Amino acid sequence: MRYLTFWQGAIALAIVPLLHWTFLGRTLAVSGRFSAIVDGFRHRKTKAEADTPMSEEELLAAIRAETSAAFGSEAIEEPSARAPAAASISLRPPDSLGMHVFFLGGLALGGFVSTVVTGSFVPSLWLRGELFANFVGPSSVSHALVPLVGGLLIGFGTRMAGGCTSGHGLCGVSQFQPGSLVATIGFFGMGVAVSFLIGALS
Amino acid sequence: MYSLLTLSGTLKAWQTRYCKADYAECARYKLSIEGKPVPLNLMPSGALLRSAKTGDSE
Repeated sequence: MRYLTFWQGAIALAIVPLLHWTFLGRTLAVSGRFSAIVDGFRHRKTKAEADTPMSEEELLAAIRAETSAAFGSEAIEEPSARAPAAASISLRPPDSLGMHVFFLGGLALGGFVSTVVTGSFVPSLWLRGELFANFVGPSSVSHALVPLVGGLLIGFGTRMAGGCTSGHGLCGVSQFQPGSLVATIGFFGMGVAVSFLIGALS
Repeated sequence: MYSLLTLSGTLKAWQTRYCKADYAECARYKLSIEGKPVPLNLMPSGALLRSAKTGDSE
């Protein structure tokens, strides 16, 4: 199987979030879409959420009215110099459940098409790889259990970190966000450490 | 919500009351620590902002 060179991979990884931003107007976040699907099933929309989205002008007017009622009209100041930058934040409603499913399905479909096109598609219920096989042994239960536990830990970790390798690693780091840099160091640092640990234990 | 409060020139009052003084009373904070989605139109006081077309805030 032929892999992309590091620079080809880097360009491809840069293009994906750029296309995502261009066509969807949102930062790429894979784990965020998983969370949105789970949250969509856990919490039904309240009546307030189901209302027609308000325009920016309507929201600002409502906020001023609420502020005046809570603190008096003197609490309202002239908008700060930072206001124009803040105004660029999207007020659009969140993506629908179908859009999240479409996106995540596209990831699986893309992987499938890629392996078929490159001739490396081999149907298998289990993860393949010499290192992994040596680590988990021949048991089918282990082959199923280890990825399952690993997936749960990844889900737990990404929720704690507020994002995964796409949100923090690709998008956050490229925007020089310190939290994303720390998270990405954690992701890859632990990945390297665990791979050495598995190698040593195999 | 932060950006909207900044835009509307009302950030300081809400920040002083709900971020610095008594954040545990912030309705948005309460929902977030319960792991529930926080509606965009939920004010820290618990009021829900509504369009003039659909009714006043609660």
